[in-house]
Amino acid sequence: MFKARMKFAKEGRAKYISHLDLMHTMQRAMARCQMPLWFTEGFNQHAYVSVALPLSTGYSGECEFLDFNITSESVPVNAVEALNDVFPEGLRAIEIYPLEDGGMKVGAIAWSQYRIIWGFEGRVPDGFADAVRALFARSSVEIVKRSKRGEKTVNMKDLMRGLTITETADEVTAVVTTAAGNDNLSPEYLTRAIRQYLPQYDIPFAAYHRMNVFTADGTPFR
Amino acid sequence: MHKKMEAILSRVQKPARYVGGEWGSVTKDKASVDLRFAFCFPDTYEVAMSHLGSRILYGLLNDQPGIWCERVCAPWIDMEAELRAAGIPLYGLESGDPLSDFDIIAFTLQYELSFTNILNMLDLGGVPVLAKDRTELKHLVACGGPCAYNPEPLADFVDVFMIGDGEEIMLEFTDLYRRAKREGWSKQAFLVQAAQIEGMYVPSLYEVSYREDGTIDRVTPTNGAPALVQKRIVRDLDTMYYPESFVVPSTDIVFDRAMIELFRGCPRGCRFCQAGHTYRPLRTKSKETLIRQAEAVLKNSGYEEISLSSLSTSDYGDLSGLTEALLDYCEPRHISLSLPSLRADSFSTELMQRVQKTRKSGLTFACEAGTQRLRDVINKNIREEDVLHACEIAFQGGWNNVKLYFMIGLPTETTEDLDGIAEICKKVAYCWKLNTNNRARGVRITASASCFVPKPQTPFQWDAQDTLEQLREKQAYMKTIMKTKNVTYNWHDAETSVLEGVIARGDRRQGRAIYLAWQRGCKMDGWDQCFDYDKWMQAFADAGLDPAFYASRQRPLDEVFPWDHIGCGTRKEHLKREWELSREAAVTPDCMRKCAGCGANALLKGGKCCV
Repeated sequence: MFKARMKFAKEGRAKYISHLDLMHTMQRAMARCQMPLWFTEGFNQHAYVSVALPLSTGYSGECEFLDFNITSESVPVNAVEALNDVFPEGLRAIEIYPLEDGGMKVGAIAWSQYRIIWGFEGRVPDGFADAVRALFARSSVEIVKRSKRGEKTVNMKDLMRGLTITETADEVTAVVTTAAGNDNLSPEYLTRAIRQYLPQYDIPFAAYHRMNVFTADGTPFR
Repeated sequence: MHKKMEAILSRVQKPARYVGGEWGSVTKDKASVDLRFAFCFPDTYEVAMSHLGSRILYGLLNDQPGIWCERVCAPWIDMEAELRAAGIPLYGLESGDPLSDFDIIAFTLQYELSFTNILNMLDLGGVPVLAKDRTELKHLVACGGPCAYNPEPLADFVDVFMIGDGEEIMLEFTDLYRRAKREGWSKQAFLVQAAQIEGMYVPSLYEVSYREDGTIDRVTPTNGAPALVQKRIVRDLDTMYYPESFVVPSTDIVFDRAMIELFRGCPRGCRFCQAGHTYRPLRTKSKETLIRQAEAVLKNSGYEEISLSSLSTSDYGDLSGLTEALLDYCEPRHISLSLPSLRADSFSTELMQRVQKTRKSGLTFACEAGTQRLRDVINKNIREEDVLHACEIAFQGGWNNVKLYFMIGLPTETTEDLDGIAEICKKVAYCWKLNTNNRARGVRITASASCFVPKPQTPFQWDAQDTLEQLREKQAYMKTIMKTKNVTYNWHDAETSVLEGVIARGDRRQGRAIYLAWQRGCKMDGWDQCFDYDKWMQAFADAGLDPAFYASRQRPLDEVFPWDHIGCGTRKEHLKREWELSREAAVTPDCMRKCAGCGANALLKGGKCCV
């Protein structure tokens, strides 16, 4: 038995699969392609799978990780292809590899890079992209952040970096790296900050997509 | 998916049920098919996707190269409001295309209280609700399923009903439709032809006249439609189509597991049971077929549980051989096996230990009534000793979770019968005390009492249902006598059962009431949080109908019923004889011991039942 990690993408229709449902969906897909999953031995035997840093329901991502245990001596050949043949639409295995010495710890994840798309009914309102650039160019953007421990006001600029903003006729796209882990910043706070500080703009659509995950020193997590 | 839809999905509960794309769902090129078929389930996705019959027919239809069958489910209240506000019509889960793009729009009828959802789904899909307003061949609305054994309350809305096993009739129906579409027939020309297919009922081809007292005088077929529409049956379950794979939802559903069907029909003849009378004659699948299908479906779905489906699992001939073989496959793969519908009188240590090998869930026994007299009236040939014996085995085997099912409001019921329910529960609790090897762990005994609803095509179709007041009085009484420690008593509000009783034996005049109720906002009536009894009663009053006429009236034995021209295989004379026997509390042995002469064997070649 050894630990393996799968890097996968969750996109399109699959982005609406909730975290708990994703675990069942993964287990069933593994059963369909006869992946030699390891099962717990207890009274209620079940396969052990775990997702690092689950995405919110409705978010897509191409840098997702699932850890599981397998009973064979190595990762079966063509495991990626075999899984992709039996996944529901929108799930895609990218790489499966053994975790030597437990591999990188999920707790080491410190940053996530997201793509945010703000969409409009018609054309992007005049000045919107520049106003957003100006807002996040300030040294401090205070927002009320909610967590399990309650609400607190934070400067969200401390929790984000590397923001770039581009626009097309009907969409504005932001690429941003935000804090993950304990003191994290959901990319939704960028949308909230715009609604709070630039209330003249109505944003009917916002979509979030995770592109990368990094450790504290900027190493891509794997 | 367009932006508007994405925004909606980010706001509604459980969005995964509205997007499709699951493993096993079928996508075809629209241009490559000549028939687009919407398989609609008038309830939520979670209920719809649990239904075995829909899984079978979805597979069967999509196996045909020229047909693309998609699934359509009723959106929950929040999603419906969003769709209406955004002007997005209800759509097929596979393509996302609006319901109005489909040729045939078919609904399965599992429950009377889902009828308003049919109207609502058509309306949400941009399809006229009333059959007479759909003048083209396109948007043909078809229905099948258990409630089609009395199709009359839906006669205003539905163009054709398929009576009996869908596997048998479906392709004849779609073949005729494809020909009609190719050759440009009118809707009327198609309907007249469709009525010639055995088992197809076209309500618009029948004229109904009534007597002064409101009962039916006669039902007259027109345009050459048959006087009796006899149901269709699959004669050989071994060669019947069965899907090798199911749609595996990516979100939790009610019955989230693989299923195999042991047999169709039931040898028991419980007099209250509609399925027991309308699925006759008994037809069994061989052990070899079942094992093959179980392995295929588990392999292709990846499910970690399989359940054996039938009306009375323990009546399967070689159940121990079957479970043994299935466990040989399941155990090394960590798949659990569940056996619902076990009868208490056949519950054995041996069987229990087999099931226990995988996972220990609760056990459920249907006692139905509290005294032997009443159990004889309903022909539930089970004795109190059987229940207690089964519980004894279960408690000795370490089970500490037992459910007991009862009904209140059965014909001829007295206070003594209600007392009997409390008595059985008390005895089961005592039985646990005597037999458990771990008292400290405690026990959970759950007794549930539902309200009896007389159903058409059963021996109790002549009987009056208890009124709402009578049922409530009985429920109140039950609460005072269900005092045993360790026994949790569950009951359900009687209002839904009363409405179910009204519609179950309704005639086509009820179409007006159903339409009014829907217009005034009734939908998802099977869900407590949506059900509005007063609105329904008002709709009946405004339609000029008395609900009590349908539900709580004792019918004379010679009355013409709205469903008399729909044949379920079991003859009306048999049902009448069974009704008479029930008044003497006389039992009828099960089919395996003695043929009761119900007449359903006439549907089989050679007239020989599979017992």
